[in-house]
Amino acid sequence: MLSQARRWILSPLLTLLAASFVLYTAVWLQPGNPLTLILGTRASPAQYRYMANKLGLDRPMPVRYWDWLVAAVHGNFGTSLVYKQSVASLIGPRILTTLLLIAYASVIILVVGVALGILGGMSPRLAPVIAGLNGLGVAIPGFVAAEMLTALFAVRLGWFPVLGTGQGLAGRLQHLTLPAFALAIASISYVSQITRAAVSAEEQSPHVDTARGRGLSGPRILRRHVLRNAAMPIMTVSALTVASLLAGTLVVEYAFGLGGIGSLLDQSVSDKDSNVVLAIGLILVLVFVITTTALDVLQYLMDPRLRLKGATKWH
Amino acid sequence: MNGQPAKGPHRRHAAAAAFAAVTALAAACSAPSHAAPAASAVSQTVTSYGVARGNLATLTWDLPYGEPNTIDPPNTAFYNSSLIAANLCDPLLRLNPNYSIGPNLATYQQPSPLTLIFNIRPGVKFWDGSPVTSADVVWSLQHSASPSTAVSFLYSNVKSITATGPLQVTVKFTRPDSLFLFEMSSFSGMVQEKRFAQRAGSKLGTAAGKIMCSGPYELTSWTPGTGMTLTANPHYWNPADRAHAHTIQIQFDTDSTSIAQALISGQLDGAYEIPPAVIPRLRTARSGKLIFGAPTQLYLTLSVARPTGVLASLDVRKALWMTINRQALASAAYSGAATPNYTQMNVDSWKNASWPAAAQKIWSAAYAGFERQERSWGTPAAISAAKTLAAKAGYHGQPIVLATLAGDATLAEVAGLIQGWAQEAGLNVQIKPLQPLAYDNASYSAQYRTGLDLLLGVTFNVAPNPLEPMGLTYTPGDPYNYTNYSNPKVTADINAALATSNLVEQARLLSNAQSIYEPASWSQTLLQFDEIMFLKNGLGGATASFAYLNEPSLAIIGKAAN
Repeated sequence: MLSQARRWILSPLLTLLAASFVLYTAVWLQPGNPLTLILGTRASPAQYRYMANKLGLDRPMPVRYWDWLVAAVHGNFGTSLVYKQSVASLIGPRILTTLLLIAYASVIILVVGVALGILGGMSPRLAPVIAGLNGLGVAIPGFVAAEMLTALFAVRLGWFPVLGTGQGLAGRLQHLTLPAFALAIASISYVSQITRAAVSAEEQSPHVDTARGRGLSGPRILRRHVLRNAAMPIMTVSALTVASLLAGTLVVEYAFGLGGIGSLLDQSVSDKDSNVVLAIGLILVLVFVITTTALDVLQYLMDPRLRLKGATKWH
Repeated sequence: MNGQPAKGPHRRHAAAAAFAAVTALAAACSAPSHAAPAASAVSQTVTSYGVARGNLATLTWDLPYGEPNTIDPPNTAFYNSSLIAANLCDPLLRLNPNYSIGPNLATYQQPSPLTLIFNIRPGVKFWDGSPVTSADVVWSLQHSASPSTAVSFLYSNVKSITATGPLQVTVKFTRPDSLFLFEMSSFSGMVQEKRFAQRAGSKLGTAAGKIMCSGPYELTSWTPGTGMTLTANPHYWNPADRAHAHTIQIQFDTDSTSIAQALISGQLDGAYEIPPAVIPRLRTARSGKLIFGAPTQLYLTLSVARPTGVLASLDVRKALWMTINRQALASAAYSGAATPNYTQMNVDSWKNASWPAAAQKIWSAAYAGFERQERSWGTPAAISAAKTLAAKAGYHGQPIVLATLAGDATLAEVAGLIQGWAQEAGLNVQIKPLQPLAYDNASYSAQYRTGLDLLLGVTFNVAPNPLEPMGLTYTPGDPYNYTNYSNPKVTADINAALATSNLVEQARLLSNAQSIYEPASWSQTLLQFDEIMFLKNGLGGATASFAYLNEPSLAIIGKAAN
């Protein structure tokens, strides 16, 4: 248990450190001088040198990275080169929008995806219909889903707004409904497909036959013998799908005019605004690290076989 | 300016370069009358649209270029930030409908070519109630001149800026600068409160630091990534530019499809800089009008990117220009919101009311000559002649690398058309999309143009005067002189034009320079664009021309006449 705990803490920290270095180097290697965004193209070389010195951009990369790292450890992620604001103040308002969008989409994915998967797994008649829907859902790219949903539900029917984040929780939820569905469609199909396969496999397993033979009721078999055993793959896929949503919000945020961190990341990469890129990049890594570690812990606790072996099975 | 910026969704950088490189005359384009008749069809260009008869509770407006980096005026060198600054802050001067300079926050006197005196209007107050004084004006101008701003270069001929009275400021020059006065009618001449600005420090103009100005709107909130709220200044000193909407909600949507859908559904009241790609969709919208505004100083350029390479041959580059069908470009890529242009200066830079008739006559005669020569370019006969010309020059299929902006669908379409026509003449054009920052850098630094033969981009003048782009392109060392062009006569004419305020003399000098550099054919201005805006039904009083960037253009939009 002690070695597991060490692994759950040390491994994420090392991952974050390595990711920060890779990200910093990648931004540094990216061609272009970001000072153009501040000074325009008419500024003199002396003006460029003055600003580079003022902003510390003329120092060697390892020195800049080390300074960034020391400040980051103390909770200071620096200032945006382009927006001249602290990175925290830029990301703060945006991350709420993104997190709410992801939470909303996650609920949709888990509820609809798992429900469709169970239906498909339990009912041979519905299985092909659900498999067809899954195929369709996976094939629709996020931006196409966004445009279709907007054209129908916002422009034609007027049920939802086309863009913006809205005010208050109710307003935000109304504004985020179409984006959440646009973000969720492909993942619903994926989760549904995995759930259907896992449930179907358990349905045909000997212990379920035994349970049927013992005369247990359908819902009880489903709850205690099918879902409990199918939970591992469903949980793993659901968790990784939800974690990956953060990286996938970019398209949906653009399409619905939502100022989230996906669109900010895109813009900052384009602007070579390294402090912002790093902060958002590390948030993405952190979400993955936390999700996979939490999954690891959960599996460790849920599956006695893992405790006996002292290792995880699913990844 | 002339910095090869591009326009389009997701595009923020490009014109920053351009705008920054300019003096400050946008309003010169047209100083629209607020009482112009409403346009009836999008095919007509108008200077302003409808009449504002009444007030509004809220105006919801989008910035298709996204959230501004800053609203500190001397750094608002772009469409989105400049529009916001123009509604918050007052410049010292204003351009009149006849393009003469008129008073705004100050009147001016020019006792000698090297001295300019501003007398500040008494009684004008910032939003916090403090009076506007000479100390605020001196601080604002010195702030604009500091090396950390995008407009610093505009002050290169300024020797000193001093307060010579509680309401008087004197600017002295090291040499005459005929464009400086115009700069005072734009963001580089906008006045902020000194005390507030000093307290804000490096946060000035950001969402955290904000600004303190005296304009028709006050910035009451700015949520990064979400939007801004502007609230009417009830004590604004100038009734002609008073706020019609009590509140303006600014959105930062940059996606062309969702902008179009929000305009069609009525969620947005309007926007400037509508991406050309959604023109067909908005033409049929029942929620409002798609408006093509003119005059503008927006144009499409194709410039040779380096003095060496295959295009160092005059015949080869001329052959390439001869293949391009400008009318087809205007129709196919810009849905008609553009006009063919046949000189390196865009037509609107001289064909506007800022030039007296005698000066326009000089420009017009010069332009007619070039138009006659080039109008047939792009026809099958011209393409055939181009093929012969290139072959005679010894061209045998070497690649001609054309750089454009990655992610800009309209420019990609233009580049594709040019490539196709060139191919018909046997010219091997290869398209190289550059990432935004690399593209911006290529517009000002030879280091970033290595390996490129052509730069394609959209650019604009702020001053409606060819002196502005000429003065940045055709003299040795100019930032946009990509080919090291140098001609002593051209240099002398441009410098003489900069030193005179006599516009007829200026036109004579500049058209002389034009007659020398134009045949060298280092660059082509292929199209001049209309300003593309959309306005919801029931609204009026909007400036439709490019002048919107230099005046409180959102303040003057109100409920339309019935």
